[in-house]
Amino acid sequence: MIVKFDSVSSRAGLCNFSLSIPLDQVTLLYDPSKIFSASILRAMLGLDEIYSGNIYYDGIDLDQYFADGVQTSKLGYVFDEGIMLSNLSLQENLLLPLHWVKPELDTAQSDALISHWMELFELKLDLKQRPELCRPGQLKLLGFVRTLLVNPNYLLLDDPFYLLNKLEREILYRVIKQLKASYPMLIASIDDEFGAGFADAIIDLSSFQDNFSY
Amino acid sequence: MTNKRQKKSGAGFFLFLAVTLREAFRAKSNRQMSSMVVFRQILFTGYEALPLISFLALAIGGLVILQGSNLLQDFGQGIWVHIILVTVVVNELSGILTALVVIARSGTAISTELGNMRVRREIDLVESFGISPIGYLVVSRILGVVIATTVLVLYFNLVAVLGGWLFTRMFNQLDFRTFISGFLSVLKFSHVISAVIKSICFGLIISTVSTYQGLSVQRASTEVPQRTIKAVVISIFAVILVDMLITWLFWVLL
Repeated sequence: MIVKFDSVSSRAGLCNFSLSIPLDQVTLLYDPSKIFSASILRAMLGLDEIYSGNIYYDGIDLDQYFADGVQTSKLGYVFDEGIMLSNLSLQENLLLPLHWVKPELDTAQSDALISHWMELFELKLDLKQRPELCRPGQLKLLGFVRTLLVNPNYLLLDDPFYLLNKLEREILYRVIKQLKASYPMLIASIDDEFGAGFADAIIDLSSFQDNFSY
Repeated sequence: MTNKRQKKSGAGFFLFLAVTLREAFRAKSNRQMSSMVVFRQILFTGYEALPLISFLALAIGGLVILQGSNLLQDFGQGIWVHIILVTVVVNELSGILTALVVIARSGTAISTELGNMRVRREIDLVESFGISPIGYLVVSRILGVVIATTVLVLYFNLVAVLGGWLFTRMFNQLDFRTFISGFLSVLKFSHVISAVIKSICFGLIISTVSTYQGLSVQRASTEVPQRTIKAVVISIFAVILVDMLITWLFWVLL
């Protein structure tokens, strides 16, 4: 699949921005500023206000592509920060998109899925607790778990190593190396060294600086 | 291409209202509306407000009787005390005072909570799942506040009548049955209907205004208290105006 930005200007700073991004592989958006690539990912998901221009998924307009309202099963977006709904427990947070996409799953099936991904990320947490009791790195890894639970077609990772300590970075690197075979990914990163050893293609956003207002 | 948020910011409150109504009317088939959010809202707006409402209702019911008794001393109390109780408490004060309590507790809480959710990007998170924040966060809260406000107004009236009787006993040994039968002889079905309609409207106004103001926060945390103050002021104005309108309509029609 190709996602095409056609002269897009957005509230978050994209200015007449045009680019075609291949999604059926591991593509890295190298962006030392971090906010340019984050704006691209947000615009791709329809989270940003688009002033002009269009975004197409294989020629299909973004609004039409997400018209069925289940975009999380199409594009699994992992935020740069481990964002959780603060009024829900960790478990309720993990289950929210899962039950939205797969309402047929019973409690045992959901719990089994959660356990599988928690083990893979080496997370040992009391899921009944509220998010504010967890470290930012733990929340970030839980964000990965939440996204992977719904088994999306593509993974969109916004600065995946941000907020992680050394140990958590190693765990995450090991997991996404495993996932590389089964999940096409679009990764926004400030780390070109990571990209050089990991991605199939790198798009250097430094050459598009005129298309972003900081 | 028209972006969802672009549409929202463009037409403001009325578009928000239209989307909310659309989401509410398909609530039966709407998986986005969370029964847990509705339940928690009823618990917070209704159950947790009971001590304050009880105190207010007892005091108001009693004070109305006290003032009425003073005024009517020379004329003999008779039915006039009950008429004052129905006219002042059931028709007006129960709805207005309950609405003020709901604004002070739940309106501010909803606006602050949703505003902070916007600042912490939790609204973006919900949207990234493909879940409508209006269906999930707004409709559930509106439903919870409307149910809780309606029940609270009815509860206020019951406790106020009880307060009225307790204060009446200070002046004469009127038994409860006699007091209630006198009260019921004055109370008309239209009074109850008016109170219920007002409470539903007040609940709708408070919850809609508060959720709209909360979701109108953009990025800065300093916007949250500003939006909360706006939600309180607009809610008070709108509640009083709608109260006057409904009272006028009942006065004209009945």
